[in-house]
Amino acid sequence: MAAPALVPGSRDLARAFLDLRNGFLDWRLWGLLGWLDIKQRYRRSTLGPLWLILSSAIHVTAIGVIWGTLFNLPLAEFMPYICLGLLIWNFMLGIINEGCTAFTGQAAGYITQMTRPLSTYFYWVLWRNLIIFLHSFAIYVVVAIVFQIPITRFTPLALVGLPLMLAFSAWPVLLFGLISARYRDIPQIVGSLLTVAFFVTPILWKKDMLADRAYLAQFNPLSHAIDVVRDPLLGVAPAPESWIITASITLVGWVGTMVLFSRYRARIPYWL
Amino acid sequence: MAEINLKSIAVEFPIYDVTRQSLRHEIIRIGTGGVIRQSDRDFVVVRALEDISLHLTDGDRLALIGHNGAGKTTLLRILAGIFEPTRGEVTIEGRVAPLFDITLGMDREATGFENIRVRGLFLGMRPEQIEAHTEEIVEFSDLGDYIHVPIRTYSAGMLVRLAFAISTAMSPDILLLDEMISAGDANFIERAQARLSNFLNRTGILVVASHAPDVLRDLCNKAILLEHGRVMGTGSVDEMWDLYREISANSGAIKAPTSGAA
Repeated sequence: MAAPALVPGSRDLARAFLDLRNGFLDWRLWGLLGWLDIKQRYRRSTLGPLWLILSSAIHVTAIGVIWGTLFNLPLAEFMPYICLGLLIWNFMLGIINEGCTAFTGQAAGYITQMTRPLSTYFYWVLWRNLIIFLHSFAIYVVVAIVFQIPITRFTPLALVGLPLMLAFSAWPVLLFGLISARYRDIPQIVGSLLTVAFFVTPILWKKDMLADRAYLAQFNPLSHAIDVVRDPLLGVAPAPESWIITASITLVGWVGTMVLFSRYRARIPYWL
Repeated sequence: MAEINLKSIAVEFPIYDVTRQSLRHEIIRIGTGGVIRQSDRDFVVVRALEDISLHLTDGDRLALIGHNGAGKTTLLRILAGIFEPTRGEVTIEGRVAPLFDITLGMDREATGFENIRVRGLFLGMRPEQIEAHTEEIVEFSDLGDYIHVPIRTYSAGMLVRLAFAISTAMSPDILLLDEMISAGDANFIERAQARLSNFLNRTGILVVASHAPDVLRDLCNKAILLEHGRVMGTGSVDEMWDLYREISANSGAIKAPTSGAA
């Protein structure tokens, strides 16, 4: 372990892919665990999981109104924009933050005592956050109706953008989960960086507000990953570079993650 | 058909303490080029298992005997597939069920019913198997309508009965036990014993780690003695137990093993 070669052998690679496959086939388990998490959070509350929608609605409305006023923008234009941005951002934030404890959190006890594939716990994080995201998405439906967002020929692009955004957000879960199992500072580092990322990413503001410094948003991959979902749903086409950058980072991210996961997967139980 | 084949496996454990398991040390190491640190490894490596070979087939009931820290639990985790050995080959055929903690995976806020499903899935049972056994589990654990109530309201006895009933409902090819699973309160023990022996008889291979010679004599038809992560001997439970006592007497409690995981 002093300075091991980073390149995984073909057997390690095969096992890593097998783990991802078998973990996926374990969907009944992570599916159930994810639902139980949601149910548990709202157990004994009167509104139950309706809070998933309600708390996001309060969040979005408050910020939308304040920021719209601050920037002196028409609510009809700004509200849908900010709503989508926040919903997508909350999803990314939740999934990546929880990804850091994908193996060290509750799963640690399971990993050291049960024989489920490691990726089961990766899918668990993914699924739990996807449930929350899809619930909170109901808010956007309301917002879109209220502010009469048109359905254009670009709207169906969201069906491509959404899975792409998911794939873009999924590899950090596995990667940070793996690294955090070994280095326990990672969750703190990632958490702080994400807090900063929220402000430098066009969520509460628009790219064109940067005027001649628009390149600042241009260099931000998170901005592009949000755009490939947000733009189609607002009825406009995402910029071509948004597709290219999001897809490239997804690809490179997954390749890198799989290299490290193949190389160190078997070590994870030892680190817990 | 169950089969276990270990070919001279070894397990080395890195032990990171709280400060070492942090990035600061790596950064310092990079910054100082490793000059300041005295050893070139920033963690302690414990050799938990060394050169273990083992071949088991259907009908084998193996007892693992040894001190705390001798490597029993580590070996069980290798057999469970939780740890992949640092060296050597592991081939395991058949469905393995480790039963180290029979309540693990159960969710305090979920109902007994939901927990049957969670725990069943954790144990690798098929949904239809869980379905088929649910009624029998409820009946055996004697919970009545409590099955529809969150298990945090259960008494300790009720919880153990439920956990025991779920775990013993499966039919694994290979069963791994770290200490005998307990059956719960006194008036339940008789029924539990019958269910337990039925359960144990169904499994192809059984591996039990225990400090109770009577339990091992009852269950097992062969034994290995582990000491400091090495196999000290193979034979019948009685032979190995005697050897274990002998070694303990010679080395005394003074030379109790200090390395390895419990």
